[in-house]
Order: sequence, then C-alpha cells, then structure tokens
Amino acid sequence: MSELMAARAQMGSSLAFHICFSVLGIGMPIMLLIAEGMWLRTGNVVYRQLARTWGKAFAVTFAVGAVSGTMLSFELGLLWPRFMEFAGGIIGMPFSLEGFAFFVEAIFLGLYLYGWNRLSPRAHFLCGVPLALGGVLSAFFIVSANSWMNTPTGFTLDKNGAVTDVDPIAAMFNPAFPTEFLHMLFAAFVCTGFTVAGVYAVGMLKGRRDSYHRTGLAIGLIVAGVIMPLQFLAGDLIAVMIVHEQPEKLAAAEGLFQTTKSAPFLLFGYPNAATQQVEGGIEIPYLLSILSYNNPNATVTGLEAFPKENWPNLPMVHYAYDTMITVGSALILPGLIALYAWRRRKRWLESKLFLWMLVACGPAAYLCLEAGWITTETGRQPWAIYNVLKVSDSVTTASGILQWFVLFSLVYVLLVVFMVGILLRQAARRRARLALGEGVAVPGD
Amino acid sequence: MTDPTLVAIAAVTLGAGLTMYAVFAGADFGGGVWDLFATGERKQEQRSAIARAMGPVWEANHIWVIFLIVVLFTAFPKGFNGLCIGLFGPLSLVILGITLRGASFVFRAHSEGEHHLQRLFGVLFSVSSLITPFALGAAAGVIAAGDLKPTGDTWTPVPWSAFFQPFPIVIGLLAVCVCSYTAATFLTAQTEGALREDFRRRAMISGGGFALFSGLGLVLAWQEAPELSHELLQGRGLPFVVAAGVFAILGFVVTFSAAYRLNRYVAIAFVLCVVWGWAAAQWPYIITPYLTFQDAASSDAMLQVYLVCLAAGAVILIPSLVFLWRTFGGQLPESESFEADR
Ligand code: HDD
Ligand code: HEM
Ligand code: HEM
Repeated sequence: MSELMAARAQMGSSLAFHICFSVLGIGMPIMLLIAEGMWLRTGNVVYRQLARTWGKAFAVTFAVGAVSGTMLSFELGLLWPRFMEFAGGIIGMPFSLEGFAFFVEAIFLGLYLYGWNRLSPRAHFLCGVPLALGGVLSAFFIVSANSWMNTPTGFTLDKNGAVTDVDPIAAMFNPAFPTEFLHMLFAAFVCTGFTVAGVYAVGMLKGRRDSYHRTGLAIGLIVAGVIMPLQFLAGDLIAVMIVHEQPEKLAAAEGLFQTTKSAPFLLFGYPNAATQQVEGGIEIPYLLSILSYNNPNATVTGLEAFPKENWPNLPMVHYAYDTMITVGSALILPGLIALYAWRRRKRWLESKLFLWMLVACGPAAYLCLEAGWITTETGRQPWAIYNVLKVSDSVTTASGILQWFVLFSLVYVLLVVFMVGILLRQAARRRARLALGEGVAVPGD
Repeated sequence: MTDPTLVAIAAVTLGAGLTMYAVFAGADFGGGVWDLFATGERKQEQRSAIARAMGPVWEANHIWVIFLIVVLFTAFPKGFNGLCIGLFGPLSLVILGITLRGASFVFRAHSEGEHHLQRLFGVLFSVSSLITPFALGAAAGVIAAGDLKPTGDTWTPVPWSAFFQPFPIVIGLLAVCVCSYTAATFLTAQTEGALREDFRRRAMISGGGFALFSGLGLVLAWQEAPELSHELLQGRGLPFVVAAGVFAILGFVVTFSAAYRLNRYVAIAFVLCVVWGWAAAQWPYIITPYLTFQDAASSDAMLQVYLVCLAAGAVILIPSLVFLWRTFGGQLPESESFEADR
C-alpha cells in the first residue's frame, strides 16, 4: 500500500469512527434536556431515571468521541500537513471557534454528570443548555470547514499559486455550508433518536414493557420521527446545491455519463468508467431533472464534460449515494406509522413487528450517515480542496503511515468492544438495583 | 509581511494555551503517574482520590491541547506543517497515549465491580499518562536541539534515534516531574490526614526530581542546545529561570510547613515560570533555528479575525471554567464514578 493510500485509509476510518460518537454528542444533550425538563414539569420519576441513565451512558460515549476527535485534530496535520498549511490560514477560524464549542461542551458535561447533588435541580437542568449548544456549535464549525473543502471561497490565488486576499468570514460561510450543516444536524438527531428508540425496543421485545421503557422509546421515536421529513427536504436542498457547485460529484453519484435532457434517476446498476456505460440498474424517468432543477425538461451535465482524471471512484460514490437515498427514504416510515397509529388509537406500536422495525432503524440511520459522508468525501476526490489542491499534493512526506494505521485500527476496535461491554453492564447493573428494590423512589438513583 | 505586533500577540496566546495545558492537563497526567506509583497501605485510597479529583474536570483540561493545535495551524500554518512532518512518529505516539489515557480513565470509572477490567484499564491509564508528557517533553528537546531540519521546501522527519539522546530524554523526564509535582500539590489541598501526607511526600519527591533533571538539562543544553542554554542563563529566559528557582524553593518550604492552600498557587507560579522561561529562550523561533514565528505566521487578515474570535471565546470560556472549578475545586466528589452509583 502506498503512503498516500495508507493516509487516506487512516483518515477515512478515523472520521467514520468519530462521526458515530459525535452524532451522539449533538443528539444526546437534547434528549437529556427533554427528559430532565419533563421531570421538572411533571415530577414523574421515570423521566429522571431516564435522564440519569442516559447521562451515564453518554459519559462513556462522549469520552470515546473526545479521544477520537483529538486524534483527528492531530491527524489533519500528521497526514495532510500541506493541506493544513494551505488551509489553516484561510479556514482556521471555524476550527478555532470549534475549540471554544468543545470547551463549553466539556465543562458543562462535567457539571452535568457530577453535579446532580451539588446543583439545584433548576441549575442542573440549565447546565444542559450550554451542553446542547456546545454540541450543535461543534457541528456548525466543523461542517463549515468541510463544506469549504467542497466549495472553497474567501481567497484568491495569484500567478505563482500563492494565497492572497484572505477573507476568513467569506471562507466560513461558503456556498455549501448552510445546506451541509442543516443536513448534518438533522442526521445527528435522527441517528440519536432512532438509537435510543431501538435500545428500548429491544427491552420491550424482551418483555420489559414498563413505563420506563415506553417513555424512553417514545422520546427517541418522537425526536427521530419529527426530524426525518425535514431531513428529506434538507437532502433535496443539498442535491440542488451540488448541481451548481460540484456538478461532477452529482454526475458521479448518479452514474450519469452523458449530458442528458430530462435525465432519469438511476438506482443501483454498475457505472463502468471504462465503457462509460451503466450496466443494469433501475431508471426512474425525469426524476433527476426534477430533483436538480425542479423541472422535468432540464438538462443535467454528465461526467463526459469533465476530464477523466478528475473523476472520483464511480461505483463507490454511486453505491454510497444509493444507500443513503433508499435507506433514508425508508426511515421516514416509522414516524408516519406511529403518527397514524397514535391518531387512530391503534395498538400497532406495541406489536413485535413495529418494535423490530425500530430496532433496525438505529443501525439503518448510522448506515445513512456513513453512506452520506462517503458520498461527500469520496465524491470530492481527487481533490482535497475542490479544484484547488489535490489529495496527492496534500499528503505528508513522512513515512511509516501504514504501521500507525494498523495500530490505530486495532485501538478503535478495542475501544468499541470495551465500550459496548461497559454500556451493557451499566444496563444490567441498573436492572439489578431495580430488582433489589432500590432506585425507584430513592432520590439519588 | 505580517504585522510583527500581531505575530507577537498570537505567539503569546499560544504560550498562554501551553501554560494552561501544562498546569491543568499536566496535573491530570501527573495524577496518572501517581496512580502508577501508588504504594503502601493506602494504595487504593490514593488511586480513588486521584480519580475523584480528575473526574469532573479532565475533559475540560484536555481541550487545551486542541486549542494549541488550532492556534498553531490558524496563526502559524507553516510551523504546524514543519512540526507535523518532522515529529510524525512521536506525535503519533502522543495521540495514542492521549486516546488510551482518556478512554481507559472513563472506562475504569464505569466498570465498577469488574475487578479484572478495572485493573487493566488502570494500567493503561497510568502508563499512558506517563508516556504522553514524556513524549511531548522529548519532542520539545529535539526542537530546541535543532534536530528538526528543513530539506528543500519541506522538512525531514526526525529519526527515532534523535529522541533517544540524553538531552531529549532528560527534558522528557523533566516534563513528567513537572506534571507529577503539580498533581501531588493539588492533591494535598484536596485530601486530608494520612492521605494528604502521602501526597505531600510525593510532592517533595517529584520536586526533587525536577531539581535534578533541570540541573542535568542545563548542563546538557550547553552542548546540545546552545541557543537555548545561552538565552536561559544569560538572556531573555534568565528572569524566568531565577523566578522558577525562587518558586521551587518556596514550594519546598510551603510543602514542608504544610501550608496547603498556598501550595497550589506556588505550584502554578512555578510551572508558569518553566513554560515561559522556555518560550522566552526559544523566541523568535518556532522551530529552532530554521523557522521564526514571523515567517510561519498567516496573513494580517487572518490574525486579526483570529484574535477577535479568541477574545470573544474567552468571554464565554473564563466564567464557565471558574464555575466548574468553584463547583468541584474544594471537596472531592464522593464516589469515584458517580455519586449515585453507590
Ligand atoms: C441519518 C442520516 C441521513 C439521511 C437519512 C439522509 N442523509 Fe444525506 N447525508 C447525510 C446523512 C443522511 C450525511 C450527514 O452523512 C451527509 C454527508 C455530508 C453532509 O452534509 O451530510 C449527507 C450528504 C448528502 C448529500 C451530499 C453529498 C455531497 O455533499 O457530496 C446529498 C445530495 C444527500 N445527502 C441527499 C440526501 C437525500 C435526498 C436524502 C433523503 C432520503 C438523504 N440525503 C437522507
Ligand atoms: C462532520 C463531522 C464532525 C462532527 C459532526 C463532529 C462533531 C463533534 C461533536 C458534537 C463533538 C462533541 C464531543 C463528543 O460527542 O464526543 C466532537 C468532538 C471532537 N471532535 Fe468532532 N466532529 C466532526 C469531525 C471532526 C473532525 C474532522 C475533527 C478534527 C479536526 C474533529 C475534532 C474533534 C475533537 C478534537 C473533539 C473532542 C472535543 C472534546 O474533547 O470534547 N471532529 N465532534
Ligand atoms: C465525520 C464524517 C466524515 C467522514 C466519514 C469522512 C470520510 C472521509 C474519507 C472516507 C476520506 C478519504 C477519501 C478518499 O481518499 O477516498 C476522507 C478524507 C478527508 N476528509 Fe473527510 N470525512 C468526514 C468529515 C470530514 C470533515 C468534517 C473534515 C474537515 C474538517 C474532513 C476532512 C478530510 C480531509 C482533510 C481528508 C483528506 C483529503 C482528502 O482525501 O480529500 N472530513 N474523509
């Protein structure tokens, strides 16, 4: 494996790992606020129990998110020093601000987790607000940096390729930013909501159909169910944005070789870069033109309009995109079913079938998340900064990346194994305490 | 050329971040070191006190390293480039250490009742707490010795052999002593009785270690890092060296006479002098003697915006930090993990 490939593999796997925990860092504070807020309003201890349990689990996932994020901050420099040298002076501002968002989140997490008995209930609840803001702002700033890689603005290159006229504000609010941020934020809520709902669905399938499990499931399902339709719209907004900003990425995601009027939307199939043909697949007429331009007769630019050496890995981008679209569309269903059943007072929501569906939704949401990021990141290849800096020109000149990649991958695997084990034991201990009759009405449960 | 005043201000913010990291995250690393060297009949109490002191604050303390990284690549992108290429190996080791330290600390707190697991996480936590400051210190030694060299328009990765030289090793050990010293002094203020005596003894030992290695370091620097040694003993660094010496002696006196409230502040002042003394002696170089802060800096526009952001961030950060410290600074939380997990 070349150093470049090792660097790409290490960057990709670290990011794919970190994102799993950072979505919880964005979503869990909101869940905590909801549960604790309901407790303060209603005085129902079930809400408090949920908040306590979620807080403990979040402490563990947050730590994994924090260490993997730290690893990433270093890796940006260790693997892509020339990229950072170029980008740091332009897009450093959101990174710096992100540092403050991390501070806020970490400080208030400490207060939140350890402050149950030291702060008044109200003050404790209020600590959840900066905690949640810290999470959302982390995403805000980091996505700003990423969207700048897709649509770089806020500088000019002079004749010698040197950067001049830096405008950090313009760089931060680049064209891709608003839609990318919105879509990412919603993704975090969807993933967290479905994960929480799925965990309690497992409990209910095992026969624990108490109000604790019902309430936990309901909060997760409501959050994910409400956000999911909005996520669909946000996804459409991104697609429209990409048509203008990165047409070859859209063409690659769609497997569209020829520039086409009234373009169809392609599901599955194998985009063969050598023959410039798609083998197999299902075409939905007009849909691509409608999605991209809201006009069935619009013309969509195909890959043929771009030099072949600048095409990304077509099957990878296409399949990732397909995965997100199909699985993502299906994720709207649970919310709609729940809404219908609730309005009509049907009893489906407790049925095995629906619970199993919810169990599947957690991993499915994560699948969408990863697929979406692979579309974005792999679709940008061969550019690290679109049309400005190639990945091959960003990589470090140090050697020995492969050994570290293997070592870090091992560490990631171990982290996940231990983390899952610890979370399962936490739940088992909670049940054991309940069985002993503790923890139900004890203030400090 | 970038405005030299802006460059100096940005460099000072970097130094301030480094100080915060050295004092607070340093104390957490030192806690890990004392976890490793917990001895005697109060072994478990020592470990538990360390864990309880770190629990609520370590995440916040840890963020200072991220702060350092972002300041480096925002304000001094060329310097960041050089450090990352040149120190690829040791910095990879540092992130491995940071990762294992943080994760195993939290994992241990949350696996109560599972003694084997807790022991495993405890070892990972304490060993990585020792290695990380050592690697950072050794890297600083290598830079001061001028071993990080440019080639053409890029930098040569420093070979591992350059780290296993007396000078970097001594500086690495020095860093470990600073961390363990602050940890032990902070803990004397947060514990009582026999446990406090344990940490008092540890503060004296690590203080002694510091005196030893700083003496050795100065001697070695004479040969290995002449610029640094010159500035430390005869130039800009001298006032800081003298002040550090004064605080070190004061620290011994205070620790000996058991004035625990004062102790903490003396320790902070001491670390401050060490960090700023080093920084003053290395100025104007970010990578001695090949790259100055001035040449590494980004544009005026970037530095201006960055400093404004920093000021705005500080307005939020400082009160939040004070609130955190006030809530947890005095008495330790009751349980190692969560108060309610009893
Ligand atoms: C739960 C997760 C999730 C779900 C259900 C969806 N997405 Fe998504 N999508 C993401 C999670 C995601 C993401 C967070 O992974 C990405 C990567 C970059 C970004 O901003 O969001 C993304 C990127 C992304 C992109 C941009 C790719 C690029 O920038 O190159 C498009 C065009 C879409 N999405 C479209 C959709 C559509 C039309 C969806 C409707 C079914 C959809 N997404 C559902
Ligand atoms: C879109 C991708 C990303 C999102 C949405 C995101 C979001 C978050 C969030 C919400 C946290 C809070 C802590 C947690 O949950 O553990 C976090 C932690 C962190 N992230 Fe990311 N992140 C992303 C990518 C990155 C990248 C590329 C970097 C590196 C430059 C990075 C660096 C960090 C660091 C250093 C932390 C630790 C902060 C702490 O200790 O609290 N993240 N991230
Ligand atoms: C967390 C979600 C993300 C995932 C899963 C992800 C995934 C990936 C993958 C798979 C690659 C390798 C691409 C390839 O070589 O084919 C990559 C590269 C990279 N990503 Fe991301 N990414 C994420 C977010 C981000 C963010 C938020 C940033 C910036 C702040 C970022 C910066 C980079 C950089 C600098 C590279 C290396 C250069 C390049 O290959 O273009 N990524 N990422």
